[in-house]
Amino acid sequence: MTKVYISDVGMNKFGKSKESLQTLMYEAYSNTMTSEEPKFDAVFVGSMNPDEFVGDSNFATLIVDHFGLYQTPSIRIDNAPASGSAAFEQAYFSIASGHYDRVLVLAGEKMSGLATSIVTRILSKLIDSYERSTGATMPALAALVTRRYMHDYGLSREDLALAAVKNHHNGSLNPYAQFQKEITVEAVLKSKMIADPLRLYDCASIADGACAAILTSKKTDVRVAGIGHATDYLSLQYRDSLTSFNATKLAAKRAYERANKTPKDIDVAEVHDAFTILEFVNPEDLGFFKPGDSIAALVEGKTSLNGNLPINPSGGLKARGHPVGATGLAQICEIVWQLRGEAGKRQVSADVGLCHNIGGFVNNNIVTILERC
Amino acid sequence: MQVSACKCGKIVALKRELCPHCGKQMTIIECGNDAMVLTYTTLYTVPEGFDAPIHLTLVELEQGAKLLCECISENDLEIGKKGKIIFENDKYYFVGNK
Repeated sequence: MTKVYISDVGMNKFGKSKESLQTLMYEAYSNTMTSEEPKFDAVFVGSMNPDEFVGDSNFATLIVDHFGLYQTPSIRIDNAPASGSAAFEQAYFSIASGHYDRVLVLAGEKMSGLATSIVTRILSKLIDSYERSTGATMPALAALVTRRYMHDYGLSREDLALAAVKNHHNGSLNPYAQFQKEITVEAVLKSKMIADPLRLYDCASIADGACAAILTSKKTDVRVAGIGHATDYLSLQYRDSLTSFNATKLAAKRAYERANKTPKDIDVAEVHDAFTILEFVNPEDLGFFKPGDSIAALVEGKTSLNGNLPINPSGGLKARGHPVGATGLAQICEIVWQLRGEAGKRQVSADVGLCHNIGGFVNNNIVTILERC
Repeated sequence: MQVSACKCGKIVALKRELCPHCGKQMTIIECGNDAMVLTYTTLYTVPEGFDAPIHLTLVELEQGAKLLCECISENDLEIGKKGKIIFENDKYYFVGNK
């Protein structure tokens, strides 16, 4: 199998934008600052739902046309909110197999052009149709998990808020983040109730944004060490556990095996904190902490920028923003910058980093391990 | 109340043709309507077409299958609360025992 390296990554500042999705993607590509000419064996475009969010389909062709990459093979990958990492994964396979040598990965979503109620309806389509018929939304399912985790492990409402506080602090140091200001526990507890006990500041935002990565078979200083991918039942009511997710555990196991690493080898991680509760569940499922121990780890600062395992140095989905299709590749951009020492004020010390991207309600998950070499 | 059971041991709420675990044909079996709350939420921001607030419970049925359904009374929102599933207006509801 051919080894796969990352040459360049780029993204734009997440938030609300007036630009088109293709313009956001071109801006992200321009921000890779690559000095090589724009020639690629293929373009992989991750986007969850441009059909509904911006009214364009055949988006892969639209992109090569917009970029002036005439005749370049291109494909759009929809893997729910794990579209960004899924596009990266397919691009990785294309080089690992020896089929291609240099490919472009783009990922993005433009969501802010629609009313919040319409965005909520589009996102709710990720949920099983029976569960949706009860009125359940993504925050509702996350709230069910939160309530059970609080019951089983004694997580307090205040400690839950600390996940948002930490990630907003990190976001305040990230020029690409949608929210670059600190928040307090009190602000979280005063924000609007969405699905009890989850409030507005427990939930990732609606955002626009795009990212780019250039993968190559030529050696660079960052290698894709391994990728793991796994699914779980679509319905939450079919799952074995309500406080731990098999799709994360299995994706992580596969990624660690392929990368020949263990959780102890990971120096920094970006995990999918679409809701604050996931900042507790994900690190446990990734093998960093035992069930329930994420609480003490967060409270004691182990996952802060100066802790021994910084989690979401970018600010995570919470503060960086969550343009659904872009998020997986945004995580990869952050880890590449961390490994290269290019992360500015939020820089941590790291040789090996992990990205964890969730599709659906934690049922189509991808774990990507990157290594400095 | 009906649940679907597979030879592999997987039991899920409601009627389902193929087992989500192994893909084999499932058998529909009758199940009592006793249930216990595993977790719950009250949803204040609801999708288009729903009225807020919605009390949701995820309950465990007698056969071990789980069901997400509305809960009629706020007073029944408690982990471990025992009650019954009723079916009205094409929807399942959890009602706690007194």
